[in-house]
Amino acid sequence: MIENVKDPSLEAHNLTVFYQKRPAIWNLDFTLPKGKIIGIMGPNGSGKSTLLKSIMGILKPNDGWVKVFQRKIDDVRFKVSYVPQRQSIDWDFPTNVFEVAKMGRISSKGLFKRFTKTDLEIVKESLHRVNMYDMRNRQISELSGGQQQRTFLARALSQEADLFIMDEPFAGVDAASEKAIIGLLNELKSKGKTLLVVHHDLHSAKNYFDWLVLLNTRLVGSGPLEKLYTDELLSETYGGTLTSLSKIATKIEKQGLPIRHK
Amino acid sequence: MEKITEFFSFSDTTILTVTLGSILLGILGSVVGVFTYLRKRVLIGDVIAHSVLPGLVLGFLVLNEKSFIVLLIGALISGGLSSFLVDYITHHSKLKTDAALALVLGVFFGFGTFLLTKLQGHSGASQAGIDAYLFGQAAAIDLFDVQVIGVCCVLLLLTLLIFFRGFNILSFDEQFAYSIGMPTQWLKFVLTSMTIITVALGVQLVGVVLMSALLITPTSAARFWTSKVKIMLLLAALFGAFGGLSGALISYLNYRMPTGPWIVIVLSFLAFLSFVFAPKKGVLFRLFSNVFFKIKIQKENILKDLFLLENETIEIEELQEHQPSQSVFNRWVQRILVYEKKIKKMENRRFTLTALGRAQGSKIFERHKLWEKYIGKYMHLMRDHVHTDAEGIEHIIDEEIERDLKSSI
Amino acid sequence: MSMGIDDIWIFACACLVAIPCTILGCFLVLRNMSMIGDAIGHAVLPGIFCAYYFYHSKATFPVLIGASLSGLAATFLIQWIHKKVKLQSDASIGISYTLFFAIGVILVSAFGAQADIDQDCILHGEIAQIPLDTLSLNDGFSLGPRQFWMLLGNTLLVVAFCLLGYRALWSTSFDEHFIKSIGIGVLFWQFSLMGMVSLTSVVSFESVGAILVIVFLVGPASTAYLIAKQLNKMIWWSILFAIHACFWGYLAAILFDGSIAGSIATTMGIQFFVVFFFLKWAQNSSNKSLDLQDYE
Repeated sequence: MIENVKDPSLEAHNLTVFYQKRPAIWNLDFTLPKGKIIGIMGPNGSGKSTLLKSIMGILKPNDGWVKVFQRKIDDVRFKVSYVPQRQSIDWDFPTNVFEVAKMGRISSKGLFKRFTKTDLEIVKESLHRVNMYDMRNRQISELSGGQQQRTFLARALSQEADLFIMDEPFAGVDAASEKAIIGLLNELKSKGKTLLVVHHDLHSAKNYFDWLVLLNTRLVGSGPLEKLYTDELLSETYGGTLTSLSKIATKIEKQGLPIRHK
Repeated sequence: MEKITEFFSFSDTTILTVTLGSILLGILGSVVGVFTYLRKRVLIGDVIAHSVLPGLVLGFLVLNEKSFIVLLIGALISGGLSSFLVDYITHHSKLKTDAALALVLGVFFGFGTFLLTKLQGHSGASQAGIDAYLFGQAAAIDLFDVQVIGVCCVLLLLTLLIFFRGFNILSFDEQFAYSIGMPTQWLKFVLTSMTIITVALGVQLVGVVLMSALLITPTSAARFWTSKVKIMLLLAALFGAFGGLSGALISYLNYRMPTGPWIVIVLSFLAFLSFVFAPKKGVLFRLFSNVFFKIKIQKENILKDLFLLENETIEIEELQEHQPSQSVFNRWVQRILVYEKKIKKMENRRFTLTALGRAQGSKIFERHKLWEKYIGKYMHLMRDHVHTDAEGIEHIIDEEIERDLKSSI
Repeated sequence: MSMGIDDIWIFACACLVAIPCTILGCFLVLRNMSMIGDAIGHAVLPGIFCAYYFYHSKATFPVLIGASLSGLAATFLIQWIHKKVKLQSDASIGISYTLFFAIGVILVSAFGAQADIDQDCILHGEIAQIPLDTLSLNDGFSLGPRQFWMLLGNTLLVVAFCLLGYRALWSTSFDEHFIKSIGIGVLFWQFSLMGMVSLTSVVSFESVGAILVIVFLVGPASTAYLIAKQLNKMIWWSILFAIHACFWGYLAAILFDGSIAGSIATTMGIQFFVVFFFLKWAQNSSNKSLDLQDYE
C-alpha cells in the first residue's frame, strides 16, 4: 500500500542505507505530501532514525537518493529543520535555554556573522510559542524531559523552515508537554508547513497524524492515515522481520552490497 | 651477530634474569590486559600506571632504600587510590569518565614528579634506582626481583584460571552476570587488583608512562586473530613474551637503547602487522574480500546475460548496455570464466556458454525470478522497482535462502 | 624567602602555559576528548625532539608547527585505527600514544646529548630555567626571557582562535547532528581544535614537559565544569582557577623546593577536590534541610 502524490514535499527513490554494513533501510520508494503531519512508524531498529539522518545528509545513502521539495538537500537546507533525538546530546552541557534556541539562527547566519536584533526577536518569538520564554535563562540540565523537547522545538522554530523533521519528539515527555507539542504541530500545519515525525506509540498515532509511513527496514506502506491504519498493515510492520530478509541482511553484512546493473 | 649468540647462550646470569623478567612481565601484562580490553576499560590501566609514581617515590622516601617490596606496596596504594578516585568522581559529579581519567592520571603523575625532585635534592646517588621506573630499565631487575615477579606471576595466573569463567561472563555482559547471581562487584575488585599488581610489577620494565602499552597493545593484536577468549589469552601472552624478549635483546646489543620503549615498539609493530594481515578482521583481508565479491558478481552477471541471450529473452542492445565489455575489469573476469571452462570464446569476440556455465547461468536467473516473486508477495513495491532490487539480491541468495524463499512462496 | 624579578617571569610563564591550555581544555572536557588531549601531549615528543635536534631549540614558528604536526599525526592515527581498523576507541588511543612516546624516549636517550634534551625535561620541563635564556636587542637591552614571548604569542593565537571560532566550537560540541543538519562540516573544527592543542603542547613542553600538559588542559577546566552554568563563564572560571593554582603551586614549589610544574599540577588537583567536596557538602546540606522541611 504505497500512495504517491504529485508535487511532493519529499521523495525517496531506491533509498538504501547501511548501518555498520548491515542494511538499516532498504530500497525505500515513496513520496510525501505537503502541509501534512506525517508519522514515521515502526518497531525498534526498523530504521526510522536512519531514514531521517539520510534525508538530512548526515548519513550518506549507499544507494538511491532523497529529494526535498524536488531539490537536493544541500540546495534547500535553509527550508528544512531537523530536531534530533533528545537523548542524542549531553544535557549537562553548560548552556541555557536561550542559547540553545539561538542555535537555530546559525542556519541562516552561518558561523561568523553577528546575530542582529531581528534574529534575537525571532528567537524570543519562538520561545514564546513553545511557552519557554520565562525559562530562557534556565540551565538546560535543570529542565524536565518535556521542557528539553520544547527547547529543541524553539530552536527548530527559529530556523523558520518549511519542513520539520523530528526524531521522537514525544519520547519521555509529560502529558502537558505532549499536548503543547501536538498543538504546535497543528498550528504549523495550518500555516502550510510539513511535519515529518518519528513516533512509536500506535494508539496516539491515530489522533496525531494525517499520513503514515510504515517502516520495517523495508517500506511496508505510505499513505493517508485512514488507509494505512489497518490491522493487517500494522501487524506486518510490527510483526517482526521476515526470516529470509534477516538472513540476507546478515549475508550482506559479511560480504557487502552487490553492485547494481545500471 | 656475535653478541646475539652471546645473548642467547645466557652465560651471564644478569642477562638471564633480565630476559626472564621481561618475558614474565610481558606475559602477565598481556594476559591481564585481555580482560580490561574486553571490559572496555583499557584506559583505567593507563591511569593506574601513571598514578603509581607518587607511591613509588613515597615508599622510597619513607624507607630511604630501594627495596622492591616497599616500592611495590607504595605503588599498590597509590594505584588503588587512583582507580577508586576515578570511579568516585564519575559517580558523584557530572564530570564524564574521560575527563576524570585524564585529571586523576595527570594530577597523580604531577605529584609524583614533585616528590621526585625532592628525592633528587635528598640523595643523588640512590636516585638512579627511581629513574628506572620512569622510562623502564630492565637492567635494574635483579635476581630477587625476578623471584618476586615469578611468584606474583604464578599467583595471578592461578587466580585467573580459577575465576576464568567469572571474568569471561563479566567481560561479555556485566548485567547478565549480575542477573544470574554472580558477585560482580567482587569480581571487578579482583580484576582491578590484578591490574594494579601487574602495573606495579611492570613499571620497572617499561616505565610508568609506557606501562599501559603492555596491557593494551598485545591484547589488541591478539583480538584480530581470534574471537575466542582462551586463544586470545594465549596469543596475547605469546606476543607479550616476544616483545619482552626482543626488548631485552635490543638493549643488550646497544647499551644506550632503553628496554621499555623498545618493547613497546616491537609490540606496536606486531599490532600493526595484525591490523593489516590478520584473516577476516585485517584491513587487507577486508579489501580483498571486497574485490573477490565484485569478481563473483561480475562473473554471475556475464553468465546470466549469456543465458538470457541464448533463450532470446533479452534484447542484444539491452545486453550491451549491461555489459561495458570493453572495460579491463570485465575482460579479466571473462578470462577467468574461460579458464574455469564456463564460457568459450567464439569468433568476432563473442562468447558462448559451456554446459557448466549454462547450468550456473540458469540458476542465477532462477534466483532472480524467485526473489522477484517473493518481494512481489511480501513487499509493497511497485512493479518497475522489483527488477532493480532483484538484480542485486540474486548474488546474495545461497542454497539455504533459496530453500527458505521457495517454501514461503 | 625573597621574591626576585625572575620569580615574576616564571610565574608569568606558568600562567601563559595554563591560560591557553585551560581554554582549549574546556572544549576537550565538553567533547569528551580529554584522553585524546592526553595522547597529543605525549605524542608531540618525537616532533619536539626533531626540532631540538635539527634547530638546537632555537624554536622559530615554522619549527613549532612542524613539531606539532606529530601531535596531529597521532590524532589521525587514532582516528584511522578506530575507523578503518575498527579497534575500540580507548585501545586505539592507548596504542597510538604509547608508540609515539616510545619513539620519542628512544630518540632522546640515544641522541639526547646532541640535542640538549634529557628525560627530566620530558617529565616536568624546566620552567625554573626560563629566565636564563633571554632575548635582547642589538644594543643589549633585555626584553626578558625568550620563552615568555613564545608563550605569549601562543596565548594570543589560542585566544584569537577561540574568539573567532567560538560559535562553531560550542555548537559542534553541544549538538553535532544539528550542526551537520544545517550543512556545516564538523571535522574541520575538530581537527583545528586538535591542531591548537598540539601546538600548545609543543610550546608548553619546555616549561612543563610532555606529560603534565594534561593537567593544565583538564584540571582547571574540569573544576570550572563542576560549577559553571554557561560556557563563557566556564572558560572565565577555568582561567581564574588556572591562575590561582599557578600562584599557590609556584609558592609551594619555592617553599618545599620541588618541581614547579609538578607542584602546580598537584595544586590543580587539590583545587579540583576542594571544589568537588565543597559542592557535595553543599548539596548534602541543602538536601538535609529539604528533608527537614518535608518532615515539618
